[in-house]
Amino acid sequence: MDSKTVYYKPSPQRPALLLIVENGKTAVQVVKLNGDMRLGRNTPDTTCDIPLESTIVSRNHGDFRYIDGNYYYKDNNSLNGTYYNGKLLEKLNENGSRAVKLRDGDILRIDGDELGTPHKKAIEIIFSTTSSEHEQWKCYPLTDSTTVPIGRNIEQGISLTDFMVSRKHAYLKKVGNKWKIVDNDSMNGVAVNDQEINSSAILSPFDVIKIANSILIFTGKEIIYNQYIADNNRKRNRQNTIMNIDIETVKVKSKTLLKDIKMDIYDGEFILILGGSGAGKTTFLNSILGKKKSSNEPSAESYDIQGKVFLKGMDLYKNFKILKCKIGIVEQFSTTRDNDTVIDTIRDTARIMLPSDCSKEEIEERVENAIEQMMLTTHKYDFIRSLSGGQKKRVEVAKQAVGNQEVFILDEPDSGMDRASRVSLMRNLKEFSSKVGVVMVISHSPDDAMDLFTKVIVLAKSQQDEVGHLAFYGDVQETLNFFGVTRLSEIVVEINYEGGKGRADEFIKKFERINRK
Amino acid sequence: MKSSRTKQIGVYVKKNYRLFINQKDWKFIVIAAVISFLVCAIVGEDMFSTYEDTKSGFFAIISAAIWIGVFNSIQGICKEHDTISSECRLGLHMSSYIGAHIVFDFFLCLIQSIILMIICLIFIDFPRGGIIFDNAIIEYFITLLLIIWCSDIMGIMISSIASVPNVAMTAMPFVLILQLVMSGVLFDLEGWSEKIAYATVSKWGMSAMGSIGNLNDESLPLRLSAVFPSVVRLETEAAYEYTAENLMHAWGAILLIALCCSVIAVISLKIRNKDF
Repeated sequence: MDSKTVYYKPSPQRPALLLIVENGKTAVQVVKLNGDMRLGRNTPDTTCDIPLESTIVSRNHGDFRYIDGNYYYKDNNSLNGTYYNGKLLEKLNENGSRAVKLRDGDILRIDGDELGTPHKKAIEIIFSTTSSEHEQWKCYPLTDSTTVPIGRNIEQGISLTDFMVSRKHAYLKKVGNKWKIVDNDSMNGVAVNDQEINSSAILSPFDVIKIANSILIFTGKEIIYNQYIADNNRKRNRQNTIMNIDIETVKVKSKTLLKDIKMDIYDGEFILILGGSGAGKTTFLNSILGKKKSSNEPSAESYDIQGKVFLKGMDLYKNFKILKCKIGIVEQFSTTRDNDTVIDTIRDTARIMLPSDCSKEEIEERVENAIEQMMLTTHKYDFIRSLSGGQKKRVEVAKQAVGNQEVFILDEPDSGMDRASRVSLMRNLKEFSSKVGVVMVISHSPDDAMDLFTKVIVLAKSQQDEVGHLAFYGDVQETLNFFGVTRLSEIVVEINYEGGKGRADEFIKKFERINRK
Repeated sequence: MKSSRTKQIGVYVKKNYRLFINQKDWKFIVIAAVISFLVCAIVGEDMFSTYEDTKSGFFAIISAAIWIGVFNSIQGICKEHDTISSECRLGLHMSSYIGAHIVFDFFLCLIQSIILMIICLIFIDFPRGGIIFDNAIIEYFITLLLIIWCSDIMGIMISSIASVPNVAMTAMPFVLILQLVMSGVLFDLEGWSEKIAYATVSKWGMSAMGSIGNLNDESLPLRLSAVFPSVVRLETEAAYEYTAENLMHAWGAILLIALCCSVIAVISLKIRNKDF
């Protein structure tokens, strides 16, 4: 039994933004959250970290706390209270309300009792880990016309520059004295208050509309929106949360396959998924992919997932139509056609993935970019059948990368490759992760590229309940220390019951203890 | 806006063409030519000499056409189910995918029916008067094209349902036997078998060919008539009625079967990729 005490290391502070809008004002106040900060109204006697002018804000209104990589908000028993995603935070004790964990896109509101008719000094605060403080905010008044188009680089209406916005993405229409937003059968959909809309939705003041990477705040009289600046060569900010996984159980029929998988995944990470036999690696992948079945066979059984997965603050299961295009999967098996060329394969994928109003030049630029990122430039006119295993995997990744995915999951991409090819592929994927978002890899030969991974997820099957659990999640050095090994491949030997040392339950409990602290 | 269905059909028609060339799928055209040659060489001489020989000849040509059509497509979809699932996740519409196969295969079937027709003309001396057109050859050609294309779409349907090529190839003989039995040439169909026959290409193909060839014509003698000149046919068959309405009805039925097969193929792929 390993009796080493694990050193508890608090997570480094991660910046997040508060986008603050006050009723009647057309500008967005962008506040950078850096650790614990207090929200309130400045008076001659009191000062706050986040000062607001509105008179309905109390002097000591609420606190933002940073704990282990997550921000929490607590209302300090303020006079008018705080609404969290439309629900008033109830008083818990004399210190204030219960603290709520904040996710990208969460909305805090300081207002009167009637949210439908906001107080003239009402405040809306959007918590964002994906917006940049350098983004430009604009205001579009809604008084001139009864229909306002929203699209990419349009001359009339609300023009957004994000590539994933369709040219005729949606429009706002005045119906009586209300405004509604209508999705124009867009490629990437429209969400209002983080809920994907079917075809249209009536808007209430302070509703937050999300179109691709743009945030549009409807105040009732105007739309205040940010101008997302796409840069394919930018380095990702590894302090932004991309995905929150909070899975209680995953069952098939009545059999539980996975239990208690909770973690936050940050932008730009290159994550290794390790697991013993039957630990539920595939089930885990399918759960974060939003798949409801284990395979595409009609007879395949459906998953019963209790819990939530948030992708950029939006519930994956509730907004699958919008979000599925943000997650790319490279399966173990080939999904390319041997008798097609690399460039034709990727170009055709681009044509079905990208909005129909994308110009030929835009598509070609995307295709060339994906080919270059995956170092396939010299092979672009080759048939898939003539490529090596590693090159074929690169084509699979390029196929996914041609769209706007931000999370890539690769199931054993290095199987059947020699060491040199494995290392080369992993280096390529690491570089790729720093540009596109998150790359998660299942690998049975992790030691060759050990230094490349930024995080390791270890899943293990408990012998007590025969269910897969999270046995560890942390960086490579922490992982090695935790399991008391010098190589990542030894972890599987430590946790496996069949052919290993059978210590899965010990590590599962140890990790649970650390998490409880 | 989403990548539209018609745009996706265009993308996949071009892809199918590239794969046709790269995979050397022109072998389907050669196979069609060989089969057509064998069938026509055997039945050609006796066609339009007696009622029975003409009917058997039509039956053999239709059987060959069905085989050519089904064989074109029966393995095409089931061998790439994993690829389809992946592309479905990326935004591919199943209706576009099936639509592209149907459109591309139309041109393949067109070439195959031209070859079959040319070989038929080499070996068979067709009476030239048509029902709708002045020349019956046009009607025979349309019928053969519809039979091959509809059978091709039936192959697409089987391939969409089958999980792997082995399953599809195992199903193929059963489908062909069903088509042959239900044509009404080998056996008289009554009751439930007659109802099933309404859903087969062979029955309507035979009806169209028999109609154009005017199998009910009394001048087309029975084999027995050569020995017993007084033996004559007492009843004509409604299916072979020499009218434009009957011919159009048969063509329409073939197209309806093709449409049903297309819909089943799309639904099958949608079910397979639902929630996945």
